Amino acid sequence: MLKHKRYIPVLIFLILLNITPYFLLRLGEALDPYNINLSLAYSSPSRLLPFGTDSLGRDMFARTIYAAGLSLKVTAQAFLLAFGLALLQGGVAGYTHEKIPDKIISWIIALIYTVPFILIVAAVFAVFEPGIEKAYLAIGCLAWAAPARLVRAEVIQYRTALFVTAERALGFSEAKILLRTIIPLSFPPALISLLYFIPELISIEVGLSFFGLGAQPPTPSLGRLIYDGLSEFYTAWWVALIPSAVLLLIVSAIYITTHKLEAIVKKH
Amino acid sequence: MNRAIASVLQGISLLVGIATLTFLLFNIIPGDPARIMLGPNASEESVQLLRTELGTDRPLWEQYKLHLSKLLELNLGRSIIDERVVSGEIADKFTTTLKVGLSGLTIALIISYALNLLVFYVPAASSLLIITRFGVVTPTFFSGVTAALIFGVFLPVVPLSGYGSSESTIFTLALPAFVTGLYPIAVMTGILREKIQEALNSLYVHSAFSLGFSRFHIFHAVILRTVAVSWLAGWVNLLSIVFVATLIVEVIFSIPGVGPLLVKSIQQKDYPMLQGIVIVNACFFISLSWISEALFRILDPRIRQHAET
Repeated sequence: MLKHKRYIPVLIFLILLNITPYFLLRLGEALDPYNINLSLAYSSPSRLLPFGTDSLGRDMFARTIYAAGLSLKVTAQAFLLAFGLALLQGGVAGYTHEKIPDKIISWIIALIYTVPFILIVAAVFAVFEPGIEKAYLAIGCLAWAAPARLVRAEVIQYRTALFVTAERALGFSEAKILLRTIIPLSFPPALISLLYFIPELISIEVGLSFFGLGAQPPTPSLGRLIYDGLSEFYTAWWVALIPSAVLLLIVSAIYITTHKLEAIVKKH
Repeated sequence: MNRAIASVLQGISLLVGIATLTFLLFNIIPGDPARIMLGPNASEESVQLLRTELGTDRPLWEQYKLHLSKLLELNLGRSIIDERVVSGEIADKFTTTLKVGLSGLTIALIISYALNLLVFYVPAASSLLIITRFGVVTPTFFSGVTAALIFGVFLPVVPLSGYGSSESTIFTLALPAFVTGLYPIAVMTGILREKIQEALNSLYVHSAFSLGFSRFHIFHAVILRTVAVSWLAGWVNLLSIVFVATLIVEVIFSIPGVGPLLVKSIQQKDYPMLQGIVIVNACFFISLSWISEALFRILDPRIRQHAET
């Protein structure tokens, strides 16, 4: 495993991605995002209330922190699920290139990929109402299609490589070639490309709650906070602006980190 | 020729796949669809009436056949909230969404062309291209809310929720379209820039320069001609991303398109409407990818040869 040392930063990033939401959720809860105080309604951002309050006087700072934690938690879980599925399906499809398993998996990928993906997720959410705890299941089970394409392409590339043919000629078993050569070679580069899907997953999660799916009031979620703020543009500009600025912050932080990680991995 | 037939078959199989998927999703939902739609307080008779209307009291195979034959007749049923014909309603909203989305994509096409032409003449201007990169990371939520606040609330030049009303000006379409265009502007400018740089290092452009052609001629007749297909292919690939951005922008700017319709159908559990939205969009994007693939094969001899060998 020593040769994969350069992937340690990627691993740390993924661990952080899964831990941070719990801290945000704890912090948000400690600040009490549900406390209604009508005398403080529509307070604009100040020293005491950095993000202001909403129409019910609830602290927007606590609500935004909690919502960001919730969005990140769903995203991180959905990513791990989609990641596993993408490796599995992409790997199988790539290895059985042009044979029946590949044809079936590629067809499913095409089906999910051609239609704006968020509409299918939205329909699944609207019908099954999975609630926020199971939201990652619905997102993860559908989000693997695009990354699986990448994994498939990676595997196909190595499947016909000369050294794989050589191993086959030397009498290595197919299982050994797949597990010892192709998987270790093709998965790490795929992992980096998959990291670029994280911002997209966040947007999907936020988009779903924006359209009224996922977390239900009074639970704050980024999309809901933004949506609720739209009707208060003239009375309280910060209600919609601050959660969307926090979203921008999260997405760009992840994007820049991924960029840096890619540079570290590619440098070797 | 075989490839053309294969791609038609692929398109048809995807359409059947979507029809089956929506059938599974909306007709075999856990529990009784009629009961879920009407809620727990509805009387047994009205639930039974809806069951007969939806056909959910018939065997599954028959329901599936009914579902497919209705789709072939372009009959998407009626809204369970206000009896509107789903296909008409969606056609109406979808036109608006297309208008906003395509305007955004057209803006992206023009800006990416103009910026690259500028950089081709004045290489020092390439820092402008870096600015467009912000479009990649900026979520539509942020750009949309910011644009609406600045131009709708603080300097009221664009009446929010003024789309289609007497107050509407050119900006009521242009501003939302520009917001949806931010991401495509970044991507298209990047693609064109990369392709131009590739071409600039190639022999045929060097020889064009040494033959003394003007910069204008080289940019348009030599470089753009060879890179246009991959540039436009990038444009087509952006459509589904722009579509999602358009839905969000429509909700932010209260434009009566598919976005607000989606929010409303979700809130009201209007399953026929939701199913219609999924099916119409699926058909649109499947036929789009099919047409663009065929079109690019005709336009670009390189793809044709690649496919034949």
